[in-house]
Amino acid sequence: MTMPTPDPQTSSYAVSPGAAPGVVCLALCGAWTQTSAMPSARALLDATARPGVTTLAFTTQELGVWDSMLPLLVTELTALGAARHLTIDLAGLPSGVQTLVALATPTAPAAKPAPATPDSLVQQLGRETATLAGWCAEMVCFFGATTVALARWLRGSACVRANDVILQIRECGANALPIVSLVSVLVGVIFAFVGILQLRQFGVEIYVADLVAVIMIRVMGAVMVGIVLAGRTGSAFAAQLGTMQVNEEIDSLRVLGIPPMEFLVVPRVVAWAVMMPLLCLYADFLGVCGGMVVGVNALHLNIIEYLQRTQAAVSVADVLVGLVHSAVFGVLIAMAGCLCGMRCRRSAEAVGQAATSAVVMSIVSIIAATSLITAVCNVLGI
Amino acid sequence: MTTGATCIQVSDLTMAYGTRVIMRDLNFAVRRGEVFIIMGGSGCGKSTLLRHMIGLVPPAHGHVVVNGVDMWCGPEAERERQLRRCGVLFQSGGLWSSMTLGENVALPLQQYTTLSARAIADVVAFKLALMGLTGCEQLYPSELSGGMQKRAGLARALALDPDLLFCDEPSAGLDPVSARNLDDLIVTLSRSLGTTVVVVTHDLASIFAIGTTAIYLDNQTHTIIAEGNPAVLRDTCAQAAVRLFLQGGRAHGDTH
Repeated sequence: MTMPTPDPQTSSYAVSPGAAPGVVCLALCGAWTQTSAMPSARALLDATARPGVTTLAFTTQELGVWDSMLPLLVTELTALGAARHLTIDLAGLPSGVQTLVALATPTAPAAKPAPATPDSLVQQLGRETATLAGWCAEMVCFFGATTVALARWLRGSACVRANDVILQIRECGANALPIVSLVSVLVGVIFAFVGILQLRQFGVEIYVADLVAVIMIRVMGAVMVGIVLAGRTGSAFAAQLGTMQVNEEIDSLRVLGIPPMEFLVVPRVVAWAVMMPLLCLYADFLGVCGGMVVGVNALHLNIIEYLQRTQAAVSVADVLVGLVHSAVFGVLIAMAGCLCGMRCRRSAEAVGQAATSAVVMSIVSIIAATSLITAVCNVLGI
Repeated sequence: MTTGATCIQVSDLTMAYGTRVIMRDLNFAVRRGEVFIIMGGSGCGKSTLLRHMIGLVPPAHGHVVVNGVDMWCGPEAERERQLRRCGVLFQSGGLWSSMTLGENVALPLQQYTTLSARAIADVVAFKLALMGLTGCEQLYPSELSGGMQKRAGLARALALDPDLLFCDEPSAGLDPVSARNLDDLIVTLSRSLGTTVVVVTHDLASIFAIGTTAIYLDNQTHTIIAEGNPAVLRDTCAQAAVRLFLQGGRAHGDTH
């Protein structure tokens, strides 16, 4: 057998008739690795195709380095050769290649998965609707389970640690004060500036005190606190519970007979229902202060005058409506965070999705609840 | 199994977290083709030593030289090129949970080879078939048992046909039969492909089944107190602690 001197860095081969009739011999030379531009199995079979040949054998005296690409090629040769009634004789290959080929050849043929047919539009629509319906049912179930757990807690029979409640109160209350302060002062300032521009057209700039006070105390204080805290703490709840789900911590609560709804969800919901109205009052106060800073500086109003107008404009009902808003938001945000965390799947990506959907769900439910409460107040004339 | 030239040289290595020294004055060499065992009691720093050898943690003092390249004194590019020739099987598999098994094994190939997408798919299918995971490309890690996750982790570690394979506690969390099968798989693959294997373990069955050379990290003296073939160490080591460890904690010295 004669051939040109092989380059040790590339794959090359030579075909010669074998010792026995019906056998063709493939001599492998040089490197057969991921980087050596190996020929494909089909090309090799075509090159060795001879009339009357039934067996393909190998010689490897001049084979240099090889990696797992060589056994992969031999596996493919075996599969393709079977279709052409060609037997592949592995005896001439290095023992390592033979071992790997044997290891990679499954003893039983793997069950072929059914070919995936693309769904029709109607099927997709149906599936999406069913998913949506399931999701709504899940929300209702979660709401029910939370209510039951809260009722058990009020009766004193729930498994809730007082420490957890206090920890959550600190987390969503005291620790949130700086960001709530900043946002509510700025919102008050913005309302005052915009209000002055409009009211000046009628020469009644003094009413800017009424405008800021009513809008902050009745709605915007609660809404701003809700949105800020949904991003700050609602997402943290979802990520925390989601990670607990991934680490099987929630499972270990369940097997100990501790209902996660009571142990994890109740402290959060209670803490939020308590702290949101307090934060809302704080935000109302700072929002009015922000408006006053603008009123005093831009309109040269007297501080006392501004406060008197504010007092005259705001009724107890306004304050109560604001507090109802904020308590509802608190419960909604806490439940959205917990729901998204509890239904998280077991992967890093799912935890991220849980945090994102907690924020989206909180903000959507805040807006929806605001519309509903405002409409009800309108009808009742509050 | 014949052993060849030195491929990892650890010299005067001191490992520390802040001021707390874990191990000091570690000196050993791993030779090509060996199955090198790092053993020792729980919490003695076996896994930390492995993390030093694969360049995840810088040494407090000393050098780790892999295939002639100092992992911490040379240029960054050289270190990364070297790491590409190392495969690592992490204790819990370390599979990326948001990718399928196929994507997990394909990522190193896409990153570091010029193979076509079709060729990569073939290689991925072959590597998974070697591990007995034929047809599992579309499954996510969370859908697998612990043993399957380990084997999938091994498939990913071997995706680039590394010269060096590091395994952190390969048999931890597996039943004895699965553990033995995984050990056999590691040895078969490494012998067939000529890979050098470094295994961190305290599983005696693995140590005797696959280890050709072992070092023992001692909790008390914070350094290596024995090096050699595990079976020989068990019978003849001068250090009582090593004999006790290798005899499975039974205190009598001469029987096993």
